[in-house]
Amino acid sequence: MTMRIPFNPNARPSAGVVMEWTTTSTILSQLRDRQNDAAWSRLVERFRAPIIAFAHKAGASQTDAEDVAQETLVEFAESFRLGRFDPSRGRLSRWIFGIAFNQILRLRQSNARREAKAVSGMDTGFWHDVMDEDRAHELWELEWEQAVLEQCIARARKEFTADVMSAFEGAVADHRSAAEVAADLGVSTKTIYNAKHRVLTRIRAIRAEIEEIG
Amino acid sequence: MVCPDLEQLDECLAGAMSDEDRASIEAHVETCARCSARVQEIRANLNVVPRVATIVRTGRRTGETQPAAGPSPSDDSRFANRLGPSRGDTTPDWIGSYRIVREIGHGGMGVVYEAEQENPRRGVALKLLRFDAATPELRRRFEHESAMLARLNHPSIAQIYEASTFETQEGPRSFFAMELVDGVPLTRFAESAGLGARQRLELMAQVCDGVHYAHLQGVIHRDLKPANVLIAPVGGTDRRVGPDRAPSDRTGTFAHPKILDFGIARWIDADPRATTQFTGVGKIIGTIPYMSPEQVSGDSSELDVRSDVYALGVMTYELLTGRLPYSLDDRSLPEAARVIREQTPTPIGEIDRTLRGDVETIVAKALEKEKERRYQSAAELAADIRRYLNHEPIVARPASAIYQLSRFARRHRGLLAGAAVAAVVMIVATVVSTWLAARAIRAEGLAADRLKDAVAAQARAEERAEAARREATKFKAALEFIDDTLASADPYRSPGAKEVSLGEALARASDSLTSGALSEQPEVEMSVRTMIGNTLRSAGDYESAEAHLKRAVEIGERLTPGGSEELALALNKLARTWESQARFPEAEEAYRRALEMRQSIHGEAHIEIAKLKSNLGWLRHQRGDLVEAESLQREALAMRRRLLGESHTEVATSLNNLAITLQALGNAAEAERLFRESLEMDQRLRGEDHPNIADTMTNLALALKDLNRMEEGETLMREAVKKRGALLAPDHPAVATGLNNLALFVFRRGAFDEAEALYRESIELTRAALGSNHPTLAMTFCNLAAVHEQQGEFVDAEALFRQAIEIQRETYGVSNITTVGTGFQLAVLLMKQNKLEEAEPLLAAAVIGARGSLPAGHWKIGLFLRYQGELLMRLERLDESEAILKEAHEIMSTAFGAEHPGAARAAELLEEVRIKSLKQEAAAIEP
Repeated sequence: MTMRIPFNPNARPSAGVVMEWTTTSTILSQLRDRQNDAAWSRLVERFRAPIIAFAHKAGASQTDAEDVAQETLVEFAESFRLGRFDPSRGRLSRWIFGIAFNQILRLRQSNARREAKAVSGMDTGFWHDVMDEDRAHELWELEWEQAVLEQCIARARKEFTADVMSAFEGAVADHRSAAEVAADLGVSTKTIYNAKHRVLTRIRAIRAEIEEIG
Repeated sequence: MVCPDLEQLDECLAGAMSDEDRASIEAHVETCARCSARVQEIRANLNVVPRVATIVRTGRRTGETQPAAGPSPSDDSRFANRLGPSRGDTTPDWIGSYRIVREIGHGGMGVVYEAEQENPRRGVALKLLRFDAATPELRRRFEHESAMLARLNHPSIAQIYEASTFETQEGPRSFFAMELVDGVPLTRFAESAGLGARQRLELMAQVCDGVHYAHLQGVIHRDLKPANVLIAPVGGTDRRVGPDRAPSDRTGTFAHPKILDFGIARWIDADPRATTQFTGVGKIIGTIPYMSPEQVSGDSSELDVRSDVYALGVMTYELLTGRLPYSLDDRSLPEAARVIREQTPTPIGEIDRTLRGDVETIVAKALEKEKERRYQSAAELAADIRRYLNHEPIVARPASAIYQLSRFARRHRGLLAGAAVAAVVMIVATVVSTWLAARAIRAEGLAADRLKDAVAAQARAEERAEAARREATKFKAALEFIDDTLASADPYRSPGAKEVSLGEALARASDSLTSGALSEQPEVEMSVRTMIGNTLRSAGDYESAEAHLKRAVEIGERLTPGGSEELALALNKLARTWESQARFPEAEEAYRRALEMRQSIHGEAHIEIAKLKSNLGWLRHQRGDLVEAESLQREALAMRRRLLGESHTEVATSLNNLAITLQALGNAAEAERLFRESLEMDQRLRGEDHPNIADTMTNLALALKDLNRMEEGETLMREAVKKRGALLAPDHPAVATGLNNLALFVFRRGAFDEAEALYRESIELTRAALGSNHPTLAMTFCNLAAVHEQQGEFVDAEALFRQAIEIQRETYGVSNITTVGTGFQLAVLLMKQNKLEEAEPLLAAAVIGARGSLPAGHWKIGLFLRYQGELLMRLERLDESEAILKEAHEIMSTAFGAEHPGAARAAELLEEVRIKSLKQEAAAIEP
């Protein structure tokens, strides 16, 4: 796996307010009701960020990337309502990727002439490059994982006490030994290990609730 | 043992305990189900730790979580006055999330720092570019391309970790963070470590491996030079680059090359200030000596992987001889460029006698002026170096006499007009063949001299000398043959002789071959026949071409039953000849044989393989398999992009070929995009006066026609016809095709008389050029038939359609999509005349053919079904009709929407057939 290239912080969409926690399965079942605006908002909050980041990395402008996210989520919701998603055929993220990638290709197609004119005379090889699907998927997976884990951590912060989170963060993020973190916080190393694994286990569980459709 | 607690299990999995303790815990876990489950859980938790840790830390810095110590990249004030010494400022403390340790160096491209990354904690080299990503678009490009560079992961390439841009008070600045390599430049290492030639070559082969890996990922270096290849200690732990540090170990501890700055040259060069190549007195510094002829010409579109191969050749030259191929000191840039483009470097064997023979040949091949003659990949260069090191025969051959002759001819083009060519051929042939013979003898002597104690090596050297002698004989014979052929046209040797045309010269050559002039030298005969056959094919004389090429293939099969590149070449040319004659099954078999042969010789990825795939794709297209055609064209395009870069004439060809198939598949919009890309690339690379430009313009115009942009299309088509007229002989088949295509537009705007005149002219030209049984003729028959049909002249139209079908059945096959498409047109004409029984089998065949050739749901299937349904309705076969019309309606609605006239017509017919059915039922009930 290669290193992830952080994208321009200015282009990153704001994280938004974390709403009441609901599994993706629940959101999707609520979406069957077209009038359920709350379900739509939750869906947008959950999946908009990785789509925008992905589209942006695939070469779309910020505005275009936002359009791609909007169109992708509309198409995603609609095809779910029509019962076209078959979980046995692949993961949720793969499904959304397929829609998003098509949206990007459409966007590139419609922009192709304008872009060719805009960059004429420059050495701009990649503008002419139709992004290879495998490469695009790799990019997507990175964005997806980032967005999902961010939500998991945000959720975990709501579920655990500040002490537990401090112990967890000290253990995983700061490259310090459990003994050092324990000494700093005035607790035992056992507490640090417990905090680390409790939070990580919960993060994995939340991740499953986001990514799996039961 | 008591079950270990969480802490112990965590430490055990993290490897943070003694071997003894770990063994004890592992033994316990194997027998304890509860602990085994916990281990699984912990392992799964630890898997997500790296990403989670990054997010937690990023969140802290951006203030999303909690305040933390450390830099905040979004806080511009932290970066004030941190632009490094290149702008007269002090060294910054932080750049992004990197803590700056010290400046390693600075130059035209910016400043390089040693820095420390926080997470993961490691030393990095941080290259702060002068290049400013001033616009969001440029910044996005930079980040996008950098993402590709970060994917390069090879032991011989210094890893790029991150590329980004950060804000300063003076605007955005870009940087690369990359692996900090502890090593010394390649040439300095070789000198100080006292390496012999073989060890130096081993190092170069490793460098080639890394370069080839990057090429396969689509990245060209563009600035390969010894300073960009550091030799790093294997398993070294000191991460600092010490400029004063010299390798002290001569045993190979410093054995691993690391190539720096892969793919970043274009970003470094993005700032014109960085390209300064002169000192104050105009002396060239920097990287000019490593630039290939195409690179110094300044056309970046000509750069591809072979430009890097050239730089590798220069590095090998320098590494082995201690000097550069050309002395460029005190020369101006234009003068240096001229030297690189025109001068032949001193053979390394003349600098160091021990390098004569294979090494000299390898280096010379890497340094060829024309990239087509170089090693086509860094892997090929590495392979030949390793063959030499393993005492195996190398693949490279000294430049052939014919090639040298052609270069001679190019330099003295003015002298070589007309029949005087023969005299020059004679002189040069003698000189070159004598030189080759001398070279063979010299190689033999040298071999004996160098390797007299080693019997096996002596045998190998003799074998090489023998091979060289054979080559010399072959070239001498080829040249003598050409000379003899042209002698009768040489006024100096045959007084009264007139200048000969190319056609006459080829005819004389053919006669000589037929009378057995080269029967004693089959290798020579094969080469000459392939060359003559291909020339005849290009000139449109397919029958004569076929005879020569078939004979060349026969000879090749006898000489190399297991296959060879020469045989693959002859097969490819023969396939193209058959294809031109519309003998598709034979052509396909020959293409596939050539493809398999080349794959077994070169592996999967090679420029010649891409060419064959493209040829085969077009053939499959013509045979009606559009799906396989698309797939082959995409493979060829991807391979060419990977091997040749994004901008190359062969990439332009591939784009055009793929677009043709996409257009046939109904995707005219995507086809338009690709045609335009191909056209723009070709215009840039070949200039306006090339027949390919006219071809692509024609294709683009036809795509515009499909998109109903008739006026735009016709203007473009007229331009293409004009270009063809200027570039090709009046009887060339492409001129006829151009007239046919133009008539399509004229017809669509209702100028029937003008259209008919153009079609008739096209038919005459096609018949003269291609004969009376060629699919191009059939196509024009169909088009002319449509003109007659439109004017109510059904008898003329029907006769033309029938002639077309006859030709297409014979050339394409009965169920080919083009054949059944013409059948469909005829069926519609017959329906207009109420000849329903005659139309029925034609429509049935059209539907079957379309289902076999097109993807399910293609609108053309829907169209054929709609007519079939209507026909059956008119024949009162209502049940069959209803089922067919239902399917037609579904296909058309899905393809174009329910409001589309095609779908609406299907719905209308469906309604009609239902009413008819009801009436029939009612009539049956009534007494």
